[in-house]
Amino acid sequence: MAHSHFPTTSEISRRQLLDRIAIGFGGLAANSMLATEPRAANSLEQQNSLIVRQSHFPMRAKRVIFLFMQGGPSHVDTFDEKPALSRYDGKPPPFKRTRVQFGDRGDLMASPWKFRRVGESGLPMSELFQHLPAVADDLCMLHSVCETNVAHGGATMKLHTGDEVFVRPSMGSWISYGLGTENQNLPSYINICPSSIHGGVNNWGAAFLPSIHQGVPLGTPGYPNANASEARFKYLSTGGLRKQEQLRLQLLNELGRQRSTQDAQLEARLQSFELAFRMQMAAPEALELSQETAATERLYGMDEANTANFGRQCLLARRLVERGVRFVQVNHAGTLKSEGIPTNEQWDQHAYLKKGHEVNAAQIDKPMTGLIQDLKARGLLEDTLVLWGGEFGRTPTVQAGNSMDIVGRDHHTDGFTMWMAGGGVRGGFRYGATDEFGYYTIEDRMTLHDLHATLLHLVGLDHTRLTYQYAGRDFRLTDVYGKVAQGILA
Amino acid sequence: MLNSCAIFLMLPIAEVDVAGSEYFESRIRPALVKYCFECHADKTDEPAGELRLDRSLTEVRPLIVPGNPDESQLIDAIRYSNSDLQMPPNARLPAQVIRDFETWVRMGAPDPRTPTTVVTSPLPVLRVDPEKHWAFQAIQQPDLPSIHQPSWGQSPLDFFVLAKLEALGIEPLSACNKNTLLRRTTFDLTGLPPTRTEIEDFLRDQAPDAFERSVDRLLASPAYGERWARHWLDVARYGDCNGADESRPFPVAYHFRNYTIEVFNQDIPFDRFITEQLAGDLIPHDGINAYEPLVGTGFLVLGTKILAEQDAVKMDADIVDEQIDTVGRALLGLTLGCARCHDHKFDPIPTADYYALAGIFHSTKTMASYGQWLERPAHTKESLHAKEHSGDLITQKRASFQELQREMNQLAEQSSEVITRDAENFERGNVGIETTNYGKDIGIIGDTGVSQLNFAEYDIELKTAGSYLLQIRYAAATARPGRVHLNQKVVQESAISQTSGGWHPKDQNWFSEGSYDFQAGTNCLRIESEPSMPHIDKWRLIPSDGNSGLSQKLQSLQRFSKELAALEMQTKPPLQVMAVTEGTIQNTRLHQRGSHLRLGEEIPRQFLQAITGISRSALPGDRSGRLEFARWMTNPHNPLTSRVIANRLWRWHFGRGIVATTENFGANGQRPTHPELLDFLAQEVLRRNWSLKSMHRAMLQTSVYRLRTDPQDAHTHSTDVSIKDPQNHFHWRADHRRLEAEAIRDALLLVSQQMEWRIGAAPLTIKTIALSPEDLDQQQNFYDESRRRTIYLPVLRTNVYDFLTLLDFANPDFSTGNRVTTTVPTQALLMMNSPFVANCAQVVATNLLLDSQISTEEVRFNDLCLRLFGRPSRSQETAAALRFLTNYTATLTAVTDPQERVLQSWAALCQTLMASNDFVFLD
Repeated sequence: MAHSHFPTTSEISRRQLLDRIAIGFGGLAANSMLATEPRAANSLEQQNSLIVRQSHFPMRAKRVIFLFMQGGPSHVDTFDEKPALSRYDGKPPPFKRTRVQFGDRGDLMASPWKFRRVGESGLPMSELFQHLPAVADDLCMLHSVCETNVAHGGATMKLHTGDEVFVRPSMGSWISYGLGTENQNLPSYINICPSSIHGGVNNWGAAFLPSIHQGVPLGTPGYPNANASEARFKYLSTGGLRKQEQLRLQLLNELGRQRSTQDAQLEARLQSFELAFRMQMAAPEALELSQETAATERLYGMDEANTANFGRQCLLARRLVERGVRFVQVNHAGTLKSEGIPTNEQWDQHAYLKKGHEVNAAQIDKPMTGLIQDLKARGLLEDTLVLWGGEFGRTPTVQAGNSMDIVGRDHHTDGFTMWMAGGGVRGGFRYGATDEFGYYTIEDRMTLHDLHATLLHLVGLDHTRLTYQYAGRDFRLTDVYGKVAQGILA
Repeated sequence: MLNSCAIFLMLPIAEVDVAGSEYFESRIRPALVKYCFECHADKTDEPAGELRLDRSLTEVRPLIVPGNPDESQLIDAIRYSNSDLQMPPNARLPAQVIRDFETWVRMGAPDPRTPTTVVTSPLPVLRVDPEKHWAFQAIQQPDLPSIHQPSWGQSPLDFFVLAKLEALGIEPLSACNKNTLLRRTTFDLTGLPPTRTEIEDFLRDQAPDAFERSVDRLLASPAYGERWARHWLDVARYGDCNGADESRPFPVAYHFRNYTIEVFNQDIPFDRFITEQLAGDLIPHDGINAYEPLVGTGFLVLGTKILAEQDAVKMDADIVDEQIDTVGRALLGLTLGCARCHDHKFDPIPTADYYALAGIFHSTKTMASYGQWLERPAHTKESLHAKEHSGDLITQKRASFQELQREMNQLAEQSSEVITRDAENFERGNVGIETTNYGKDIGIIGDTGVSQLNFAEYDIELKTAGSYLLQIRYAAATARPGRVHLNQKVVQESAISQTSGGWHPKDQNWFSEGSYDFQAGTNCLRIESEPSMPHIDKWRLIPSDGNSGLSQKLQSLQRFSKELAALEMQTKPPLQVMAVTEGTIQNTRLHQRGSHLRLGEEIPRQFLQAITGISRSALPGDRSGRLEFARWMTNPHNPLTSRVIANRLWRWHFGRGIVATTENFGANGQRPTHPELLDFLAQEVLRRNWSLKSMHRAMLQTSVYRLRTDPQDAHTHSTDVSIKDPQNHFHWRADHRRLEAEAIRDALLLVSQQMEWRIGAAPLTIKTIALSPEDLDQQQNFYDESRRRTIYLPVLRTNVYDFLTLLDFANPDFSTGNRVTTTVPTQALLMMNSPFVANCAQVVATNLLLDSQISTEEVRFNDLCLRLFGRPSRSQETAAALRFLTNYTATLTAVTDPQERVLQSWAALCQTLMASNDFVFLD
């Protein structure tokens, strides 16, 4: 098979070479092996760089911010109103349960929260959210997300990578691979304070895609996750003087140029040091929040202890997409600690649903509302897609056998809610539906493969054409599945 | 594909009663037309799932089980009660329609339409003819090609390479110089740079066999095994924890690593190594090899598993799939995993073959219990020896000890002197209390599943001070060690560390945790562990300094225990290793579309049909067939196995395989650049009895191995060649190759004289694999501060050392024989800013400056070049370095001590050279 590799420099001059290979964070990745071959990108150099690539068709969103809610927020207590649950409260469900369940489940349980209609569009939303109604008309509710795995690990991996068993490239990596990125001095895919559990690094990894497309964690990935105030890229700071770094760089170049070789791989490596030097200046600027006004900080809730951390993460996300980063993930993914309830994985309220969800919603409500408002005010929302959701929803039934005697809900995979906002989706819109109990999807099923197909569609990529050959076959984010949810497109 | 593989015979059309027919026509047919025919009817090009609903369904089982809706797959699918098969896919049918279908099935599914015969062959014909693809054809005995420059050919291997080049009209470059050759070979065989002495010896040695003897020296070095075992660990996707959804530690995985190092160092024949990895549990220990062959089967257990999968059947299928996929890629160069759901699209591997192999692995026990992999005792040469010599004595002593223990337990149960407490009655603690699942008869404490330090504290009132033996009763299938504190002091660092055979009440046993002095008044006893805890039922204190019968019994027990421990210390106990054993022997039913919920016909256990040169007889019914599988794999007529390893060796020596896709020899992999050479090498593997050391010698004693990387005069040579073979597929020069992550780190340790030489041992030395920021810091510190060879660092799949991952360490989740090399600025940042590199530079600079033999800066710099680059300095280089030193020192205005200024400048110079291409690339 034909392969496109670096030509030797006898064909082109060094200058030409450097012009050809657009420079990026990891831009000059020179793949010295023949393990892979180009499919979506035109050549191996392109696959291995972050150079901006042509989308398959015009993009509705240029950038993506994914607000990941680890643990599984309850859809029937947030956005998917089910009055029938009040009528059937305490009664056994009149339908057959799924074959594979996570735990023993009890009777149906009414939501502890009232729902009301919000925005001009009249979206149902529970009282858990006090700020979000302000942007209701920008939200596109996806009520029929389904077909994930019943356990956190499998479900989190499937949400991020499309596969619940094998290690596969994450969606951010696929998008980076498909589109490259606009700012060559920053990574294309940044994951703010990610969680290390339930697949951990694999949830933002590139798997077999070229490694420059892997998510770069900002802040030590931790569990419980590190504070956003400590978020920084690793090995970026040197402590040395600028002049000293220049001298080191100059010596490296001098030694490199003295060699009689004209191997492009060696040239590329020299160039990567120059890039690293530039990055050392660009990255700290992007993360420097002191440039923001007090009003902006208030908008994100950074002035209040309860919302400061998630607010800071959201504000970092805005600064990064503003600077051209292609995919930013913001994680509400740590340990829920609150007085009166046992420590608990963030949204995973098998017990203490009421208290737990109240604390969680309060932490994210203002920051994410502020993010959408801020993006809008800066004209970024129209081509930035915001995606919100967890790895699954929660059962409309109460968790059975709960020794703690305090009600909660179990994992639920057959119909739950995520939402999108901005970049090309219909605002104030509800897509899909679950049955009257919020158990099974009954309308416009959206499997995770469909979600991924739709996400790629919004950024201008055809999920059936974005492929990468590995181990003898073409891989896709959507495997052999996936259907674009045309109904949500604005 | 509900039933494509079943055979439906033409049956007499049942009498369809009129009422039933009417019901069908009024309720069912319209619904089928409206909701199903878009995909499931003849007019569609390819009926989805090969299921047609436009024919009589009455007899189509198990789609329809007349009279029984709950058993009917169709009803199951439209109810949406099964998350794996829900139809129609977009939205659930209206409730009334579902009820209609249920009623109809209850009526017996009357259907007036004509049934269609669907017959599929039980043995599918191969889609692809294996004889048409090179890799499945028998290995040839190629004749040596004729070449025009016989002087170039040192070895038959060179003839194959040169013949290609001559045919293309490319002239190979000349041989590299001796410095370059030694550095290349030393890194290649040992993963380390040559020392100054080694360089000087080699330069001095003018004998014709100087290189040959250097190769022998390097192959005999233990560092050889440490280097080449790491290559194999890439292929074996080695890891020290599970990774994936639940990253539990594999605390004994390291035995497989050490065993692999031993296999390479002892040059165990590769066919034997394969057999041990697939079926080591089924072959006896010869007492000569360092490890019992059982250890090799860790290969099958090491894979990443989804441990929290709630569907136990799927979990089994996924584990088997991971094994088949790894075995395929690692040993056969085939992507067998592709045939899980459908016949392989490109290669002659029908789904039936996949399930024929799956039967072998389903008949093998990999997991001890749900979510818990199997660990088994395995002998080393020493422990086997010890067992033979003093085994009986120890067995006797153990039996008497247990008897004594039983007596004491009886006494203790009745004695009023003993203080006993149920574990759940703690004063303070954060442990979970479990009274249902694991303790129907007893209450236990254990961890809560949250990653934390688990503890329980008990207040004990004593009238008088005294010494007591602490015993704890617990159950543990795997070791979950913790600590005991008494009165705020750690008194036992390694408590509750035993295993008892399971988690359940029947596995509860008393374990002694040592005698301690308790004070009069209140004592605080604390039991803690992290992140997990055994199931602790109760504890008790037995007075050990009294005169009662119990105390005396205890004292004699303690004396006896000391004797036994001393005896055991003299002998080596067997290891506990990850390994498989034979399970329930069974054939597997074909999983339609890979789903364990849609089972087809039973497939007898067997090997691949595509390999035609070896006869396939039925596998015995009393064993899994793994040993037979290994024999089939290593049969000289298997055209893949020897080719695959020959190609891997070529890849590791030359940077690119003859088949570039080392894990895929199938039709979708790359074709060999030198097919005759590959066959020649495969035959050599057999001829040399699978000795890898012998193969190394064959590959290194060649002209092609000694080529220069760059022409002496770039301008005269490259124009022509770069057009004909710019990527050097045909070996007219040697490739510049960046060192692997391990080689860079190990070289830094070696040149800074910090390497801690210790072979083997080193279990999972990181205390925790948990993932709190503190744990991650601890892991990072552990990695950064370790000075052992890289192969001995644990591979935490959830947190591989970033120094390694940044420099393209193989992903431990996949079988990888062909690491990629990327060049990204994060690597530059690492080399410039990592504390580890800075430390190595600082040490080298300090050593250089302390060397009183060195008189000038030029000599010092030459010394540095020898250490780092394996060659003397060049004059231009020296000039640049000295300029750097001057300029750098000038920036150090804040440093007042002139010696410190010199040290800092030299350290900066060293670190820059460590980052340079000359250091991290092989010429």
